[in-house]
Amino acid sequence: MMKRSDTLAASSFLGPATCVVMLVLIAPLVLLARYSLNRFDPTELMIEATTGANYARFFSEAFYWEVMRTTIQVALLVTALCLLLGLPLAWRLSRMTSRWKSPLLLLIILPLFVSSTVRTVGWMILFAKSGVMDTTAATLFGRHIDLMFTPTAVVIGTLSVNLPFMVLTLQTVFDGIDHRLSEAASGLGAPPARAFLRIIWPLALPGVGIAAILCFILGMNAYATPVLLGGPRFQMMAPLLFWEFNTNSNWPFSAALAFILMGTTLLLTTLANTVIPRRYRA
Amino acid sequence: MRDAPKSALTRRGVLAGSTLLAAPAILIGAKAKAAETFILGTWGGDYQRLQMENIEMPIARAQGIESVIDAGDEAPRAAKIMASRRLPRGQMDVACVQAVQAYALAEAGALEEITPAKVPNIVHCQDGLATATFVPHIWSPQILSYSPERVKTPPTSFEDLLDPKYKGRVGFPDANFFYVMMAAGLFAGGSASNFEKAKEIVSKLNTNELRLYPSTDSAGPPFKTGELDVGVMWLARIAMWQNAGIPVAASFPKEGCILYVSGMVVPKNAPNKEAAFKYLNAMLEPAAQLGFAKNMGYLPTVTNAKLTGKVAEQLALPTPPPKLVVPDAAVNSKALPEIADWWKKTIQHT
Amino acid sequence: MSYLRLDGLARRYGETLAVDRVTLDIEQGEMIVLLGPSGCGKTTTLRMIAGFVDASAGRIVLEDREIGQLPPHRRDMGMVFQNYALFPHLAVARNVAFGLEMRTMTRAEREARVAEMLRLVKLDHLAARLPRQLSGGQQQRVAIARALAIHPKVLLLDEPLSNLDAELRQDVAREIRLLQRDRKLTTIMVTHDQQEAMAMADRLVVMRDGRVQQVGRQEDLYERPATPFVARFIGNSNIVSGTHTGGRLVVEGGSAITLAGAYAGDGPATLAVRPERITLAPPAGQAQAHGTVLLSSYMGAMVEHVVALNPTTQIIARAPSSGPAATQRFAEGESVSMMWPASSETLFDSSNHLVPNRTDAPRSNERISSHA
Repeated sequence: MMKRSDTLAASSFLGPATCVVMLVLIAPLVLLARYSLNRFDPTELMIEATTGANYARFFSEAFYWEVMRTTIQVALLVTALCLLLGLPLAWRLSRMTSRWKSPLLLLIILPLFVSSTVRTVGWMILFAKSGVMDTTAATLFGRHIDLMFTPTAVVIGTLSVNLPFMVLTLQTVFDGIDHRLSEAASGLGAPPARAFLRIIWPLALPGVGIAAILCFILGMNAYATPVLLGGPRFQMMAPLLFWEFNTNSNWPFSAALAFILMGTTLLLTTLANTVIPRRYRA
Repeated sequence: MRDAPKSALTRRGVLAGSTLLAAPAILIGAKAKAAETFILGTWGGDYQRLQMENIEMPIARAQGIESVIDAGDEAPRAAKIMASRRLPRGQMDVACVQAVQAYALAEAGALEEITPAKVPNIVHCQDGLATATFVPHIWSPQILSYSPERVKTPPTSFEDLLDPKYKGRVGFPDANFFYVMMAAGLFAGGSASNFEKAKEIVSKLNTNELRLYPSTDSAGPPFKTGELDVGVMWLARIAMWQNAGIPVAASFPKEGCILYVSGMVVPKNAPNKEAAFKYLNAMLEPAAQLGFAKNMGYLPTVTNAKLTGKVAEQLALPTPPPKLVVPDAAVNSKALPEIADWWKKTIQHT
Repeated sequence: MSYLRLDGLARRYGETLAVDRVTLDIEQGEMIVLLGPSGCGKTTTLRMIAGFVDASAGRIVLEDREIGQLPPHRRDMGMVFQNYALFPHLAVARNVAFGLEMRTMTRAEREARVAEMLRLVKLDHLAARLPRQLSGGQQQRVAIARALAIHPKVLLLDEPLSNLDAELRQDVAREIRLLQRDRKLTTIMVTHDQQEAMAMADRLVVMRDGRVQQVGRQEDLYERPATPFVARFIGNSNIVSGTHTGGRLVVEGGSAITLAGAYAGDGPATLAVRPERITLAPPAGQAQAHGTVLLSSYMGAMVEHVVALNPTTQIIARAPSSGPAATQRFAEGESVSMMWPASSETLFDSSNHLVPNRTDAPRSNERISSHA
């Protein structure tokens, strides 16, 4: 009896939250899924139908495959770079005890207060022809660097957007590992690098995996950065989706693109999860 | 497709597509009932600000009407009207759209007819710009832009852009692709609707290392930094860029100029048509029209507004007057999806 | 020279001295317990020996070799952490093997050593388990086996019993003590529990506010506390402050205590007397103090009387409830006299230094002087 009333109380607490989630997340997704099966018409916009044509269109054209490949490549590269830069930073931050820790953390969180679009505009000023980097390089080395509208610019821009998420996630992961484990390892004769590789790394791996997946998902869905730094010729999935939605008003196809992007991201993250050894998994 | 007065790059554009989002606007409208309110669907940014400064504050408010702004991109706005066109009560009183979009909405039977009885000032509208359901607000001819510093002989035709000496030094905003296609068709096929010829020419232009910019704003500074020598642009933008200190000039192609025409429509199921008509009439007042010319470089759509001073010089059409071509909305609205797809896969993606 | 010597070891954190010039000599095979309340610097001292905390000053000399500058992985200390710090992703045997894997050793040797260690702590049947599958007591034995496997020069135990259930503690304490003695392990243990310390140590080091208060065997600390703090911390003592004048201590409230010993120097002084060394008797002339019984409690093995000298000063007396030394019980409100031998009282001067009893034989000299 007691147990049942407890369950009842718990579900009454969860009820409102569940309703909100259903309303703002599930309902639009269901609607979107429905749209993706409709037929597009330039004058009518959308004609009720149940057709797989929008999905078929994506999978039958090499162009879309290529856009997806670029998207995955950028997301993977950004994730790898984020790990490379984020791991040492997060580790140092996590093991820091000095009074600089809080200011440093704040420095990492600070960019998140500014919208990523605004930060991207900052990169535009740096990358542009006769921009800060170009001028500096020309003055110092007598060579021009034109990064604007290049894949490199997109990767750097996306990296700067994702890195704070990576560092903050990893720092939490490392904070969750008892620092006495490092001491125990070194006390038993392990030099710092070996102690890290043998003890800390395996324990951090599930968390690192989550951080990487978070970073990868952000990369897969990047919109403002590829548009502004990559230019119209650089094709990634989110800008393509917006083009179909906004320029063509092709809601059915853009809905299908949304599901294909979501599905691919889901598939790849699931795949990545199976690569992590079972016993290290979160 | 749009010379978006506001950058088309915010995610809000996507969100605004949901018709649900109009609900708060209605609620706000119901609250501020002191003046008679109506819902104005428009672009955000400068255009919206100038509407407030030149139409609403000095003229419309005096007539007891007040707008509730529903800001967003054109396509979602049009989609919203389309989606709710069979409902008894719509979600917008005035919608700012381009001529092509207005045509599509009219075809679907979504728009209210505008007569001099409803909006007296339409009698002043220039010939060829207005339709039965569309009231033109601003217009601008599409011209060839060039750097007066580096280009000694101004381009006189779309063909000049193909000149190998401009390799990698020709460009325009990607969003203008449809108007560029029309210009190419006009040059190569004698008609703005000759898209097959246009495809050939634009493909050639692309091999001349055509530069595309993600927004209208970002296509101006390259003339200053030396990245661009020539391009395709609205006359209105040239005036704005000149005012911003960018060394750029306009040349009218001899084959003719495609016109950018933007205006306003009233959905058939607009909840407050009376206010909408009052607003359209205010928008056509010479004072309001001159304000847009002065601030945005767009030409007045009414014959009774006369430009003077620097604006008149900047926006002056040459003599003899160039051929001005109003796009065929009927053809264009059908052709757009196919051309957009071709553009994406053949021109953007090389 | 001693096996391990701490020489003026200090650790400063900003303005605060966590450890203030600790000097200590430890013999091979000896079990030393650092004892004190939390924040006294005992753990910091242990961590300096292990190398996890850098000393601000002083030296650590092991077998005539200065090791204070060596990183922890080159010190050969076997540390058992308070929370055990077992590697959660490694099975018990791999935990024990970890230190051996860091050393050059054949696989066979290593496996033999691991097996020996697990047998030693009676965990050979759980070698394949993960730490989280073990009970607290078993985890602690793994931690000890892991520390001992590397044949450390010194075994360091940081509050080894504090995470165990109360009923388990005494057993484990005895096990550790036996193991330490059998294998002649030089051991330094940190605890805040004085009973635990008394039960396990060869010698105790009482610390307070970063300083060593006293070093000695259990009897030394108990019978001859060097400071009132030690007197209170080791066993309980009655601590009475007053003015020493003519062999008497006049306490607050005006009552006087007749001191059993003879001491030089009049003035403010503090007296420490063990409750279990006080004999109660019906009022008599020859006694150290007189008072009225305030509380009389029967506590099983002991009987405790709280005697009020006056409304502000109380003295507690304890005696066995039966046997030859059994006390007579007094009712609440009865007048009593209190007596104790000179050897059971300690007098401290106003700066808490011991005042020697002139009638007493010179005390065996402390090996370690704690503070200047």
